[in-house]
Amino acid sequence: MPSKERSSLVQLQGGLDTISDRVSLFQMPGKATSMVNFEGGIKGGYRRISGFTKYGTLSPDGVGTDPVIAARSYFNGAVAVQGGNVYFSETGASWIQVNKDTSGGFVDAATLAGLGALPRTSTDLEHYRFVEYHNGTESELYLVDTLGVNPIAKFVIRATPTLEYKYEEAGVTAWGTGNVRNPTIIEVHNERLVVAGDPNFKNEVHYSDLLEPFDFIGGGLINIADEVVWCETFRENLIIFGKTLIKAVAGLGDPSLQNIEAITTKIGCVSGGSVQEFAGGLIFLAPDGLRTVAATQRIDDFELGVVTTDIQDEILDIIGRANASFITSAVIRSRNQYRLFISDNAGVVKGVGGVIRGGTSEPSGVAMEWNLFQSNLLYDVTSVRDNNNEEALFQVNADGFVYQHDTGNTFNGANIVAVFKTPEMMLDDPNFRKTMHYVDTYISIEGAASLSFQIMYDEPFGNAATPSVYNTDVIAGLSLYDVDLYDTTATYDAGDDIVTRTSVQGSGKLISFLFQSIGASAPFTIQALNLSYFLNGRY
Amino acid sequence: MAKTFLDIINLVLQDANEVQLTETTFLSPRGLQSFAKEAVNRALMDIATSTPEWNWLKTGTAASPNTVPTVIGTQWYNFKSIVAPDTAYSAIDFDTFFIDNNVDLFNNLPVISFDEWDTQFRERDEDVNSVGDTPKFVIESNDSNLFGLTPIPDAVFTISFRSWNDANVLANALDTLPFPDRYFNTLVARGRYYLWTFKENDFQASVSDREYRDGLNRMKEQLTTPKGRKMRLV
Repeated sequence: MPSKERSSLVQLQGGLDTISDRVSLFQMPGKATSMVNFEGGIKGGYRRISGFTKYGTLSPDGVGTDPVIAARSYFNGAVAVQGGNVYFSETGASWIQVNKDTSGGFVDAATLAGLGALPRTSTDLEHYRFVEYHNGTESELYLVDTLGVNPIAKFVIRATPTLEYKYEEAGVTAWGTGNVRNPTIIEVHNERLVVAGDPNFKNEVHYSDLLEPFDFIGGGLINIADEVVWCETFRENLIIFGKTLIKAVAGLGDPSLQNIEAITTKIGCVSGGSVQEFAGGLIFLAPDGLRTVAATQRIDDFELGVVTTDIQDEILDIIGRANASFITSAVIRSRNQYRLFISDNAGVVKGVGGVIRGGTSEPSGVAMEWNLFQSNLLYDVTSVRDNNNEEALFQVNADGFVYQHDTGNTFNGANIVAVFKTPEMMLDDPNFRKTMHYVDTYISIEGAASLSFQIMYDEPFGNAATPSVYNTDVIAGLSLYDVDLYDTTATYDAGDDIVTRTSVQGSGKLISFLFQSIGASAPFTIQALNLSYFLNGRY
Repeated sequence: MAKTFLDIINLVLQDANEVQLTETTFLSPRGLQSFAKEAVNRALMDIATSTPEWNWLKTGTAASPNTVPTVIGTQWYNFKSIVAPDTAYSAIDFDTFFIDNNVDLFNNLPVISFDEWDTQFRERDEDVNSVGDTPKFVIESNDSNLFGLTPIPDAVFTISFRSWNDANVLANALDTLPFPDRYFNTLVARGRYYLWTFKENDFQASVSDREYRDGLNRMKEQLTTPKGRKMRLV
């Protein structure tokens, strides 16, 4: 009898898994044993990441010699810190220096340009942290540096109708004589500004007076028996992350309600830069992986769960480097994604990204698909919603420019090398040889995309030939409805979900696929593989 | 361009939808590719041994077959020593032995069996007083490695005969086929037969085997010693 052609549909899901053994992965062929610069797609599958693009063509200081060490969306543009100065730009086309002595009042751009600067001590090794506080009229931006060598700065813009600027720093007036602090951590909680991390007072958490962000005299102080690495609002509590413990403060600033509860005294936070509110809880880098602080159904109860079990070795590598590097993170809410990057002074060493997946039996209650980022020269990243309530992602690369994170098809002109590898698939039975016939790749494209794949047979046995790389045809760019014109009047939509069929060669008992994208391709998502093959004998 | 060993292997692999070899990977093939390399040589041996009289394995030429000068007083001659010590003849046509004295004698030498010589001529040939004569018969030795002449030559004659070599296995990627290229498909079919058998696909193996036998028949019709014209009555 002729051998009957069989097919197997592999839905790509589960993300990177560097822990499970190959036999376990037989049951999870949609996972990836290697996944670099691909990420979990919001609609499933694995997506080639977007790149980053320069925000305007100019360096904030107009020179570009000093590196930009921080950038964040604010008002209708972006704030950047470079060479000890703070700059603002609406579009990136031009920048104005804003760390000027406005004497507590608003001034227009022309006046601002003529004022004397309030220079900040700057080194190339520092980072900045920001928080916004809305005073009822304007949204105020507060910023601190991570080395604790500068006072808290406040920068405010108002439109009346032209833009006016105000810049202040928290000195003796805010703190009181002899009590000035240079915090490295900043947060807003219960209508108070919360700061911590002064290099000389590492166990202090200060909070301002109610509705008075720059009045710490009227506020208060919490001491914990640990080095504070981060403070984050989580529901009605202020969560204080120490090196070795985590505490929750309820009723901050209210003498009758304030209560400090230890969530744990066994687990601390490796780096405050890892903390984000995500997946219904706070995610943070613990000594054994990324964990979540999640509220449970019980009042005043919290649950801690590890969410990086699948990439435990990768995350432990990051933790091992944490002391000598800087860790930063961002949440891309449009993709349900958490990103964590570890960078040293030479650029990013490694990054991981995790996408929330529904339905889980994970102890943490959160199922996530993980991936790695590489070759992204990221030094720091921020993610907030801008004035138009749109997600605004900025990154700096330790060079003289500001970049928009997660934008474009390249790393500012450099091709993105992306790769993911499936586990070995047994297809029916690992004892029998399978001769591959063709591979249907289900792809969702976002523009002109190109990708290639390679089939590997019987890798554990080391006795099979590997076919050459199969290049799928360059998939043409989309015609978007109501954007592209068929003629001068008609609009059309070509659709973005396609299937490419590739005839392939070779046979083996265990089969895996390596997908890669190395050109200036638009992002695309590989959703599934339909494998057609013939089942052969045992040899 | 002549078909090479590598070409044939790759055709076999291609027909089975397998990864093909390059000149580089040919040197150290693995798994199925290694088997395919061996399968092609097995197929070649199947073809080579399917008949003893392939014209592409014939030694010498039509006008100049194998020749050996007789030595006065020497009855037995080793086939292998005739052309070169390493030459192994896979088949000897004992109907094609001729004796030539280079002057006025050119006769066919009928073949007799060793037993026949033993019973009828041996006593005469080994008589100490025998001085030899012009050989009248060729003797097939018991082990087929030698041929003998009786009577024992009393002069130097030229003995000629036709023979066929063994086929050599293909070794190098660019080794060419020993038979005309137009029959390469028969070799591919046989190689494919082995590959499908290896893959336990009996149906495909059977199809390949049938294709091989059809091709082999055509080869035998066209590449073996030409047959005589058919006799016609008119």
